[in-house]
Amino acid sequence: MKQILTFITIFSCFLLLTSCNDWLDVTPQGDAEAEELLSTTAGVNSAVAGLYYNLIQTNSHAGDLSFGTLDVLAQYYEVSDVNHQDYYFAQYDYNNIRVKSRINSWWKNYYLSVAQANQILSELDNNSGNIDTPELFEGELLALRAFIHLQVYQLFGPVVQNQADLEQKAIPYRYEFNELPTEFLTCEQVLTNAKNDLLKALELLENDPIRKGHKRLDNNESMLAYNNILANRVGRLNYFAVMGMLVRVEQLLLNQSETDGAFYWANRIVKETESGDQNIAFTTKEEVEGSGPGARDLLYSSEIIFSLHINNLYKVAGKKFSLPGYNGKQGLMLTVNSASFDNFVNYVYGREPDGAGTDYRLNYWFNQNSGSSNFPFQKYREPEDQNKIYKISYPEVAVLRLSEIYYAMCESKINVDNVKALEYLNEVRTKRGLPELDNSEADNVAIYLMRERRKEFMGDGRTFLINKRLFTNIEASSSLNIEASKAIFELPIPEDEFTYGPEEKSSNN
Amino acid sequence: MLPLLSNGDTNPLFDANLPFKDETISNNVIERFNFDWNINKALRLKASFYINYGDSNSSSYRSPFSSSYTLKQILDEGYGYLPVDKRGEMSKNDSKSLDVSSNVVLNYNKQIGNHTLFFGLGGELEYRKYDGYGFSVQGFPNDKFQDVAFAMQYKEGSKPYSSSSKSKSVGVFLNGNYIYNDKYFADLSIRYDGSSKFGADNKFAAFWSVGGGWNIHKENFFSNGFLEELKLRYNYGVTGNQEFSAHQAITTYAYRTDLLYDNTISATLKAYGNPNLKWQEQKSHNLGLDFVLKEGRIRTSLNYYQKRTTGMLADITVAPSLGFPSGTYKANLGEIENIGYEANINAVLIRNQEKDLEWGIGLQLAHNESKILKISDALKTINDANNAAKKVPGLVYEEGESLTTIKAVKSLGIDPATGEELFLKKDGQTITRIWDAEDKIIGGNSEPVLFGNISNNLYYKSWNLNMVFTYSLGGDIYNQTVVDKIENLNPNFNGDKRALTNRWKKPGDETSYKAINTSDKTFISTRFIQNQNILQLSNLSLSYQFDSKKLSKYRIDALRLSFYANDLFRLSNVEVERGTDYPFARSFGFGLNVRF
Repeated sequence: MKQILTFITIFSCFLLLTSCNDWLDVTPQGDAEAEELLSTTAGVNSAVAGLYYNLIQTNSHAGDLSFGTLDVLAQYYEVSDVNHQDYYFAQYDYNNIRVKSRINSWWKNYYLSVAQANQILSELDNNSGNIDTPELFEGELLALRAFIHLQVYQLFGPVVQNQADLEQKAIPYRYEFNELPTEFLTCEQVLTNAKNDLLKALELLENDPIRKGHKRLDNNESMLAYNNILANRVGRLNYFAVMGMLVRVEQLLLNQSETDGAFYWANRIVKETESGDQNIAFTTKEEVEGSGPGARDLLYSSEIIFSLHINNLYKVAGKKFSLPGYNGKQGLMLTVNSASFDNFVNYVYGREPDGAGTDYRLNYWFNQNSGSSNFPFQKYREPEDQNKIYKISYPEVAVLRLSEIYYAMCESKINVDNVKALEYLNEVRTKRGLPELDNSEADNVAIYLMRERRKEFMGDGRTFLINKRLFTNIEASSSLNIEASKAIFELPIPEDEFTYGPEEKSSNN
Repeated sequence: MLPLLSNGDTNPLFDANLPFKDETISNNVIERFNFDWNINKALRLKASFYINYGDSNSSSYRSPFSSSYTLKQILDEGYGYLPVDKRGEMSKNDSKSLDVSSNVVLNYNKQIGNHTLFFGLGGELEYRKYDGYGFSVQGFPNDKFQDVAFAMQYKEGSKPYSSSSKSKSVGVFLNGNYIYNDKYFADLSIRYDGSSKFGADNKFAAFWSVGGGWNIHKENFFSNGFLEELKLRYNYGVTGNQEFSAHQAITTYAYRTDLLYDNTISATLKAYGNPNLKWQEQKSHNLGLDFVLKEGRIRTSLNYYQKRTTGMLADITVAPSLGFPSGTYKANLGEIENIGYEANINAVLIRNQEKDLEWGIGLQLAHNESKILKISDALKTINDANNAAKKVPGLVYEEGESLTTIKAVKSLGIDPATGEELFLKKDGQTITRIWDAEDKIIGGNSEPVLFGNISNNLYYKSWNLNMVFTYSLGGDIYNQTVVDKIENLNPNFNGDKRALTNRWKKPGDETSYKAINTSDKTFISTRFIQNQNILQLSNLSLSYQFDSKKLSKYRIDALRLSFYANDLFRLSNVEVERGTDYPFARSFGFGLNVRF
């Protein structure tokens, strides 16, 4: 008896070991190993959404890099309180500790998404058997990788004024998710890499549902085998958005050519969306004016080609701009006081000959609250009439608009055919409640284009980057004209890149 | 009437009168089961089983009339309160936990003549589980009812949360001892452990050790009235640990439940999963000498050890463009050697049986030195890649260095003419104003020269006083407090007085801290490396044992009353702020032991 018991005890110990390895396999709740996650369509959808998750943080495109700090850098707002979080940004004091730490977080956040894109791509190479629409996923990831590098390049890259400047060192272009650091590439190399990623993406997105259907349509046929990538194509880097990014790349490469440059891609977008199937078209007067203050399309939704969908946008923007129903914090809010508003009326939107008081943007983007002397910026205000299937507007921050495409075509014709350039500019102007500019003004089209961009892109975070690309002064008001300089346009690259990477800090960093 | 003072600040007395709740109620049911079976003269089976089931409920409530809901507090302007559906809030949380562990040991004991043999074979198992969830509500019209049913809505912008975790571990072990004639000892021990926390495909690892001892005082040739016991020991062991989380070895995503992207639940990378990550293994030699003097009044134990760790785990910092979520990844650094010695001396200084007085002290001295023997090839590759383009190479880790070095740029102090810091470049000659990470040198070593405990035990009649001090001598520290609160100070937050008095203000000022009007960041320099000596009273306990004879009429066998305190004081020659990241506790307590 005793021997049997002894034997059982010893035996059960060994039994424990052999069946144990599986029993010890515990994945914490909410976690998933990469291999497992990326073996199903739902998993890949979640992983790709993760890239967008990083981009909709308040220190990314749900604030700083769209309607927040980048617009402060473009001098849309008067920030005079020394305790305001953007005060030193308005002074272009990039050495300030807090400014540096926020800038570092922009850089870091972008590369988090790049790393994730590279990780998913490496896993997709092995898998694609079980996944629906693998080419759509791959295309989107390549496009996102290019887009993010372009954003980093536009912010942190050097000022480029001619072909020779493209040989300057810029930023690292990451292709792998691993521990090996990469050297910085030249502007030319970064842009060419982005271009190649985008061209490959365009091929893979051949069957993008947006080519044939409404951009906000849910193209899923079954709820059981739901594939999120097929729904709401405008909220993703879709076929047309890729072409839009190619427009930007070519502009940055100083290639305005009709055959293979910025104009070529811009023109293709216009031609391929002419039919209206996608609902990528200029917003009509009726949609803009709506039936009243809560029912206006302030975002020009139909013109959006690619946007980032931010579920809590109305709250985030509401707090930022002190919109009805929301209370913001003093040091974080961006206010338009009566002096700033007067400036918008007289200088930005109303200055002759290209400005007028009929401008929809002037009329509907600024509303005075009763009891306050401020005119809060209304662009991201929650619309009240939400009953239709296709709503008036959505909680989204536009990344690429149709107006930008027309401006690109205008820009490419400057000093080549100014009259043609003016035509493109007028196409957008007339949709904004402005009269057409006469052909006699064609020689000044470059000036009017810059002013038009300033009016259009308030709240999108594009204006500062456009000023940087063209190296033009920031004309904020009749008394504030910031001269273009490398000091204000070139954001400092995080120190840690030089401490832990192969690059040496050059004199201009 | 608003609960605000004339300048708009909150009126704390008003708030203090409002109903407020923040309580947690936890219940635990604990069962321990022990089983002890003497199978026969040589064999004995012991088993124990432990289960702890706990649940916890917490709820917190804030009255809708609290001044934190006035518009002045929220917006800095305006009169009145927030609308009723946003005033007052309540949060509720529930959690359950289960902790099961069991342990089985079979002992075999045999004595044949001068030989004594002992074996122990056993296994242990542990299982832990935790689940919790909670939610918040808001909008109380009045504060009569503090119940979630009376709230108007869920708290705006909040959503319910939940959390759960599970961990499992299992192990088997074998111990063996052999003693010959009470003079010579040999030991063997083997373990095989597995845990769900181990991030690898194989979740098990084996460790072992062997040792021997020699009771010199039992030898015939040994005759020394002075030494009562003299024992020589040697032990060699292989152990390891796995101080990394599963996701640091295997690439893992975590679902983000706070914000969806459109209608998709996003998942983001947790960390870079290093596929080459291995267990850290440590081979240690330990040589010891124990002796007892003077009728057992002085006991000394000396140890000398040499530990060689291969695959030492370290966090390697990388450039942010690599996109690693934490900016670091875990890697096996290479080979590290730790050499040190320890001395434990326990002495009974006074033993007076007539006066019933005994006073003993214990002194522990330790010294440790670490050295990097070899850097792993993987790291060498990274070091080289980083230096390829640079004019002056700068390695992050270097062979032959200690692990505890503090690297900083050599500071030459603050220039009285400008208030800027002057640095000495790596070449040892050039003076510059510009801080460069390349110029870092070894500025100090955080390893103390000597450290340990001093314990003090005093028995007098029925009283017992016990104090334990810990000390550390030598050892450098980078005074982060001074950096954060004097130089990198944000004028909107608390700061050290010295920022006003000791920072440079005008040319000619000779100060230790830089100009008051700069907001440029202070980077790591030797200016803030200080040599530190610490003495701390970590434990104190005082107890009184009541006379059992007097208690016998109450049917009580023994009664003891005790008082204890932790962390009573800390003396150091370097002033730093402590407890700001994680508060330390100074605790006091009373205890009562009764035996019937």
